[in-house]
Amino acid sequence: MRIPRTFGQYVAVESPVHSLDAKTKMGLVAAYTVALFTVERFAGLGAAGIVVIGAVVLAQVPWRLALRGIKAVSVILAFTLFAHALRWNPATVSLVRFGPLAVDGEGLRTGLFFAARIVLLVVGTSLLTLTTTPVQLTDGLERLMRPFARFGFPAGDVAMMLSVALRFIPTTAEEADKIILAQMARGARFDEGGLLRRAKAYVPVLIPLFVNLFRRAEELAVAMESRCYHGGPGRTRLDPACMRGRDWTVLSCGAALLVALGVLL
Amino acid sequence: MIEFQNVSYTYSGADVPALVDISLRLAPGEIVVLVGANGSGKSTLARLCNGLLVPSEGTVTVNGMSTIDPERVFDVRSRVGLVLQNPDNQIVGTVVEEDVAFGPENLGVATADLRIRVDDALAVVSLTGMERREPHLLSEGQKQRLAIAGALAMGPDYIVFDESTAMLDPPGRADVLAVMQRLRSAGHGILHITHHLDDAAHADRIVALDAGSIAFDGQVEEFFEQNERLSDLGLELPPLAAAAAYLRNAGLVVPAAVADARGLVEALWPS
Repeated sequence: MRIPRTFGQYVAVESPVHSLDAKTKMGLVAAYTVALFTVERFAGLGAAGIVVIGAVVLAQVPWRLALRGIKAVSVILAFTLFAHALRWNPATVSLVRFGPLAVDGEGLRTGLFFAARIVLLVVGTSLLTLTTTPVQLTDGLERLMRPFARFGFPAGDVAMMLSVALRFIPTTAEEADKIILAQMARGARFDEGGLLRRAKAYVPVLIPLFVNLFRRAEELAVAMESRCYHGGPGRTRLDPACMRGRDWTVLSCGAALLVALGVLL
Repeated sequence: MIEFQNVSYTYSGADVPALVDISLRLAPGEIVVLVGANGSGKSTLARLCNGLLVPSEGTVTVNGMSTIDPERVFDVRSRVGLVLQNPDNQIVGTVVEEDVAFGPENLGVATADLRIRVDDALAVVSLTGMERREPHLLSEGQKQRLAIAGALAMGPDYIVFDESTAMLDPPGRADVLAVMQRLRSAGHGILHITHHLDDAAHADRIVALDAGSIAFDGQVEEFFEQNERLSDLGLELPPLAAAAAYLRNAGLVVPAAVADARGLVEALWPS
């Protein structure tokens, strides 16, 4: 059970898309998602497709990675397609028939439409995580959540929790590796038996891992308090992520384009 | 000055106090080594220095500010940095410079000053050039120096090291000890809590704790001369000091505390 060290799927290249502020990209992804769900014609999806292809090319992300997300939803895609296209003993005219099973022309069209929508959604949204580091994402989220602080929502604390969680992923992975080796040295086997047995073999790994995590958390709290963490307002940032002129231009033009796309097509 | 006046501390739910009637001073520009067996109250004392714990009896003051005063909490903590044993558990940032900035960010230091503080702190611990490195890719010694930089960036007058060299390999430990010397020269007061009496060789003073009370507070030399007491305190003379003790017993005139083997040789055969 090796947890991947390079967390997330960030592709480290310098591109116009990478240099945009995380909040700009989040806004565009939101507008894009809304547009995808309001278009009613294939022409609309086609236009959205062109937008995505353009964005991937601009972001200089390898196609292999940009399309990787589709694999994860392949079952859903197949189900969407078949659920719409297949009919059992239909009375109407069908495209193809295999005994009682028939492929319905209208259904196939709808199925393809929905499947294409899912593909575009996955590729478009994964572009956000491909071009934005987890830290930039958390910072962006904190800024977006800040208005809710007025209603007592602990935006700063939530952002700090996310960022501490990110920081401790590699440390925890290293620790898990160490415990696995220690248990293997005592004769534990992680590679035999069925799925259930293999899953059970990890219980003696998870328990010490969790105990250690709690111990770590306690010491981390001491360290954070010693360095004056109070979770309240008034925290400054070394590297405040801010929206520049370019961000506002891209965000407003992009959002306008996507709204037009959703309304017109 | 960090000043303990007749301080006692009992953890809630405990029958026995962890510290009893401690009176102690740490001045700027001195290194005080604090030794004692496990459970003698060393870490409790460290946490009393910056107000993480407040005394059950007596007072702790930092530059005249009492650690009990709720309005001075952040003043006290920014004056007294605390560096713990396991570097992994005290690094908060996802990259080096972010971690160093964590303390001053909490204090609300302006962005332009933050950059200066981060650069200065990294320079003191010789980690310049590693600003964008992820902490888990550093060696243990580098991680510990990063933790020191994190404390330094708050602009403290004192730094308390709670067994901060215990998990390091010899080069890593030597680096951290060198940073302590540098900090002393820059006028910082250092409280170095340790199990290893050989860490005392670089100290101005040594304080020994025994079951929550101060068993010794004075010169390192003087402490090493009472070597029969050390085993009662759960301590062991470092090899060099042990050799010196044997030589002294044999009637030779050598100092009880020497920094390195060369010092001992020169005491025997002055060149």
